Amino acid sequence: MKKSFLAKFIWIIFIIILILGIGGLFFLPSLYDLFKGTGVKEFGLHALSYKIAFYSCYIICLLIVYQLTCLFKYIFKCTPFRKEVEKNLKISAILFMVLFVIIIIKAFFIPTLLSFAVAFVAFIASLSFYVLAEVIKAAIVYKNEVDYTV
Amino acid sequence: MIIVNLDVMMAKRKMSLNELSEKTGITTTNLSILKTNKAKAIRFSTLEVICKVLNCQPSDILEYREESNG
Repeated sequence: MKKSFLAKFIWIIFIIILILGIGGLFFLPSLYDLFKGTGVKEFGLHALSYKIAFYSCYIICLLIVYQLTCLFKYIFKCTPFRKEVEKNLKISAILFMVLFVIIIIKAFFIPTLLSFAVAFVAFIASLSFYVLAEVIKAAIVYKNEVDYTV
Repeated sequence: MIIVNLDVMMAKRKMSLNELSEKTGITTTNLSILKTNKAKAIRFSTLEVICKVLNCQPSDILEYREESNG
């Protein structure tokens, strides 16, 4: 099977994002203060619940990137019709759903347009990943049928 | 369930897997899948060539057995 160089390129990009993301985890308050908009409180001045939600979202995003890294590794190394790919997609769908729930809870306390937009994107992504996982699951069954047809 | 009795027919004809593979043109991998009952489906063309080489009927190769529960 021809290896996808685009998949390999994306895989490398995700690896870099993952490394930078893990590194950034230790400097999250400083990074928040560096990129925060004008009129936004400093990270240290926010409530504990906000900080917990922020860290949770960040870690969930890292886990999603990790799942995508595994996904692209399978795509460029071998066939995407594998049980592992289905598992990666389902975990990603769950993580996006958790992200959606956290953001929507936050949006009820601090309603901003960006929060609702990100929550909507997370919800759509979750559904898309779930549908894709189901498609891959059905494709694996068909592939097995074809592979074992003599 | 459908049982493939290819090994029985091969033993009757004293034919090895490699020999059958050479005469039928079917790869040993596919013949092995058939022999070990892992196959999900079999093409008529495959069945035809096996029957021709082994000089037998499809019923000699394929057998239906009721699945035992538990």
